[in-house]
Amino acid sequence: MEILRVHFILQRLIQLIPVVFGISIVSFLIIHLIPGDPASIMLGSRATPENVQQLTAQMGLDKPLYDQYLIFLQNLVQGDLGKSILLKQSVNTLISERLGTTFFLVMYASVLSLLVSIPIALWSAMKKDSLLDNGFRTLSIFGLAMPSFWIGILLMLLFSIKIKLFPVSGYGKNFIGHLYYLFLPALTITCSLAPVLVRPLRSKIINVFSSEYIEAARARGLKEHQIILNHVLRNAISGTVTILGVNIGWLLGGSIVIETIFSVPGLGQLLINSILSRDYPIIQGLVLVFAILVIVVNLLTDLCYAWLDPRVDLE
Amino acid sequence: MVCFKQVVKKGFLLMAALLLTVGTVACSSAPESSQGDSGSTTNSAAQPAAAPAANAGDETPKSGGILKLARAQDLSNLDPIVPGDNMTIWALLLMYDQLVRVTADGNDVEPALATDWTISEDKKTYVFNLRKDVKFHDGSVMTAADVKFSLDRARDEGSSWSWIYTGIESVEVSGDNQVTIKTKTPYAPLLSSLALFSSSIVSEKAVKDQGKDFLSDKEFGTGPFKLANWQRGQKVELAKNPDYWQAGKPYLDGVELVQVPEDTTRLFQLRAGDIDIASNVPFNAMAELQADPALTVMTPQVSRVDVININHTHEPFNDVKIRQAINYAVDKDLIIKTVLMGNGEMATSYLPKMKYFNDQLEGYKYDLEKAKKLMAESSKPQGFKTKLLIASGDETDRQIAVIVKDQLAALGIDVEIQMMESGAAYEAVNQMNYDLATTYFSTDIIDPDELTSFEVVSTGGTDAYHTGYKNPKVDELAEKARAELDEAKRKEMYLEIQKLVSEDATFLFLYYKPATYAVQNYVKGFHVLSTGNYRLEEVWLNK
Repeated sequence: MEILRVHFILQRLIQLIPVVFGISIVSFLIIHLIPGDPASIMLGSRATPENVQQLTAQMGLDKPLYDQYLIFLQNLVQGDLGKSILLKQSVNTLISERLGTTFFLVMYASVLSLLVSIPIALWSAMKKDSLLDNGFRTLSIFGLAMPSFWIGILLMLLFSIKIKLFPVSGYGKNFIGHLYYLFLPALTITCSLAPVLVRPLRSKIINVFSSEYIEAARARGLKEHQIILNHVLRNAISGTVTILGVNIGWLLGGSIVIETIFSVPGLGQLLINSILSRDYPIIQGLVLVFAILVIVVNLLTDLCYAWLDPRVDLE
Repeated sequence: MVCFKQVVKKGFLLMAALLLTVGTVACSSAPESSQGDSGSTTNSAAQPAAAPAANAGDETPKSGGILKLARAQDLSNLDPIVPGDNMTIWALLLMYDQLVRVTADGNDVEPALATDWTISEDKKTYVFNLRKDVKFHDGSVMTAADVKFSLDRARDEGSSWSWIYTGIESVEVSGDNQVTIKTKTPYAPLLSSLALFSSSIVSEKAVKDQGKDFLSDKEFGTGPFKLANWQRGQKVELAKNPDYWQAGKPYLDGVELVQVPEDTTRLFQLRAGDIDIASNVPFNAMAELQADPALTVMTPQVSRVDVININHTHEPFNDVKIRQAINYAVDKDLIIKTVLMGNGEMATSYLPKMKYFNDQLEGYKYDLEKAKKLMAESSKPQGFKTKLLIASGDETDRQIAVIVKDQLAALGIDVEIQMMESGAAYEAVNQMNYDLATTYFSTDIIDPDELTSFEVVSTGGTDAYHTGYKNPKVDELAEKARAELDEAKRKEMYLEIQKLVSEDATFLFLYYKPATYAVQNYVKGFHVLSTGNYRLEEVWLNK
């Protein structure tokens, strides 16, 4: 079993290579297809054509596209994502400085979503078709429909301006600080993520409740909370993990909006700034990192799934 | 089915309840603070003076504290001879000094690192006496050699701003604390050019020891603040320079220039007390902020004019009648009222309200009849199709474009609004690959020479800012005005140039719009110059 698992992980990691390669080509081409060149954006409206040309050459952007790609690939193989055109810093450093922030935010939001979703789903399922159940269902449609930037602004208005409970923006210095500063951003994500989790979880729980083994457990005289924890939730939650896994990839992309609203110094903010200034190496590096993250998260989801549900065969 | 209906009904009720709650949250800030004096801080923007609360002069300044100023963008390259973006330029002016600087009213220059200067008979030699005991941020003393080195560096090939200094023949050290600048011909804009950020005095030794790129992310100036820490994309921390030559200043222990790209976030931070000053306040948020008694909203007049660029090389815009017709057909006051929420004035000249501004020009006040008449006399009496290029994501541009499209339709002109990402739009204008495009001009130099050659002189290097406009009279007058040192005569020439350009309808003139800042009341002495920058060494916190 252990060997099987290691084999499975290795196989998936090897599959990563062609995917990353493909993504790097596509993203490279797309970035260079966008009109507007970094040199003239950097130099501003008063630059002479000679200035622009000189800077373009300095940045190595005057070489043919395939040459530029080969140089990029060469560096990539050595684990080097290149150097930012504008910030003059290594892309590796820039990304690694911010990766933790974004990752923390996404994980925070995921945990918060689970903490909110599981009780709600359980409650709704147990009181199926009650006023409460319907209320939660309506609320979740609301959460799904509202754009996250709007939710974010409302939360800020409520929690930071009206009752000065949480800061408007920032990141904090230590773990506790992060938890405090990122609470509103995480809550914003939760507002749109929790509904996605609650609905399938609720129907799965209803399903499990009506199954024979629960009846059997009750017949054995198990206490209700034991039944819920060991039998209902364990069986119902595996599907939720898959949904969460898929959504984490989406969250990493969605962090762009949240990070901009709350001024969180993460990858999303870096991406926006780099796109605006056409900082090709950073955009390129970020697209790759996002892609790898999505793949890795999916892999972890599969592993998690197998761990939660022993019937799942990784092969 | 019954069940379904019930759900819908319940859901609807719940949603209504929720909306009500949310609505209360969102709106309740207005009535609560309406007793605040919103009347006293309306936009009397004509004077560059700050609103009264921010500038009460009779209190004695207190030292200490860190000022947090939120801005939309980060800095770029810190080398004084490189940047072209305002955020960097305004930050540089806090860290560096120049020989002379712009006066508070923005109409003249005053001594800074030079205490005084004399101009020779032939008006080609300027002798500057330097202030003694000025120290760089590492404690070393500034010398005449540093001044020569810095100005030569700014004039050199590697400088993005070398074209500003083409009038200079030489910069020489002529004494212990004296520098002599010779110009090729009498060159009126010299002093203004020396007040520019690119004329900042840097340490010769530091640059020579540490190499060419040293200054790109560090600084080595004599200004009121030192660069303490730069977290890219987040904030720039500046620390007080205790050895600053203006004794007693700065009052602040330090400044944080925080980068907050999102307008809403910036304003929330201000209202939550996280920051002290928010820049770029959107016009539609001003009323709300004015109602907050803890804040002062400022609308300082800055040297900026917004226009729609016209490509004269594209038919039929070579026809002056067409250009005049579209100028008359667009209702600038309507744009100011609806887009700028009343914060602005109709533009009448290609120059912002600055030195030598021609206030006699009438401009093109909305007059559809005149526009139709001009159109009938033009080369395209039946109208034509054209495109208006705007930067996507710019809400102001988008609103203006819709109004312009609607109003030009009255002349039979069919305007297609073309949206491009800002970098791309900018490149299209540079390559003159456009018909009409929104743009604006602002300046860091108080002398009109720079903007004139940039915007309307055909030989100025930009093809009259990519319009292709060419009027030999304008070119000749601009050339003459540059060499004229007699203030009165010079003024006449600039008035004349402005008149000619207005008649030629070189641009579709839109408006002069002020800068917008919202400031906590305890911030004292904050003042925005017409060049857009702020002297934070004069700011103190009354907390």
